[in-house]
Amino acid sequence: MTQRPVISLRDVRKSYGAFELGPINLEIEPGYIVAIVGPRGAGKSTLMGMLMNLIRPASGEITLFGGVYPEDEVAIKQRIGYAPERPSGYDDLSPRVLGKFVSRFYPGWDQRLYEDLLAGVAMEPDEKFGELSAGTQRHLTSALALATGPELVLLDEPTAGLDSFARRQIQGGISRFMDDERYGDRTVVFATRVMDEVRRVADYVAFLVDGRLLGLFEKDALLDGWKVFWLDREPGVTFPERSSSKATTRRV
Amino acid sequence: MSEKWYPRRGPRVPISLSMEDPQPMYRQIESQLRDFILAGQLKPGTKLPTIRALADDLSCSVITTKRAYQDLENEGLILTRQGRGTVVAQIPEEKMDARRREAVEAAFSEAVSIGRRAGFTEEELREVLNQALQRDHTDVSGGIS
Repeated sequence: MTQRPVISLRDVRKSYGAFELGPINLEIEPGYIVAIVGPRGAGKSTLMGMLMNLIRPASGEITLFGGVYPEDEVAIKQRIGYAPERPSGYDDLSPRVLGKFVSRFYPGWDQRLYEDLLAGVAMEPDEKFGELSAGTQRHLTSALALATGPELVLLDEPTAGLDSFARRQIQGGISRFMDDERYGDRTVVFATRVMDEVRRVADYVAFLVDGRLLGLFEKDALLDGWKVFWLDREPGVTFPERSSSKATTRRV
Repeated sequence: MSEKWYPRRGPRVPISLSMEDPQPMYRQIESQLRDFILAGQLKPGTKLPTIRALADDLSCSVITTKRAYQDLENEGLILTRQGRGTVVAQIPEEKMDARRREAVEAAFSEAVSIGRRAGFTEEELREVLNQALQRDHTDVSGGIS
């Protein structure tokens, strides 16, 4: 990566009791979709929260668009759309009202994208957020973040609990956000546990396991690597258990 | 494949990636596009998909599509202009001829070196070539009847 990074983390650490996150070193260049992949409890939401200054790191340095918290908070946040795992304060508001409310803070608000994303799942514009199903709430939260029309969108498990149809809608929304020719390079960072999602939409993949970041990989290079692994040895099968002739014929 | 739940505005090209192909994905994209362009199936000025749209269609990353477009741009086959997307370049006729000739020459050199490795003399190689030409000739005339 050679361009000026949108996100830069240097030796960032945070701990809760026995759980330790970091030290995390990560640089994300504009123009890419980056998936943060890891199991539940790996620290994905903590990482997202730190990027939004909702959680302060114990040590280390976080830079967004060249600015830092708390000095540049307003300037930074105007350029970020964020979909938390569980938004608070939305319960009594309808999709229509939420759209109107959020759009006021963002000059780049994309009403058409917002409406398309909601229409895709036949969402009632006047139903209250609190009365929607968990999946629909998630869908709405992601739609809000994508439609704020900023330069960077952070999505915390945007499709967890969604059915496959709704999931494709959100994935389509991400790529439509990235491919809007009216804008220059935009960036999406999303946390996920679903590998299929990574395969479909990500450019780069960062693995987060037990609070440790296992590097940033090009997705295509990674998939090529998997291919070799799968052909060489079937998952869950060790060579001594299988007659060698059979193992050889299975190679391609 | 990506769901087309909203109309994709851009153009599409019939490229496919094969997992069996030992070439890296960007090479596969490159050579298919190059063939379309040099064969005249994609005319100069034809708009190509954005790197994101193509990546979407092929379920690969934009790093791959960007790399393929960059190589083709360096070869002078396509042009990218800020805000106007990527189009097939105007390629001079002599360059098209030269490129077609290159492909044929490469195939012949390969054939010659295989023949050399198998211990063929120059005479024998010429004979093989003549036979191939003859076969091609009879195939063509046979195909017409």
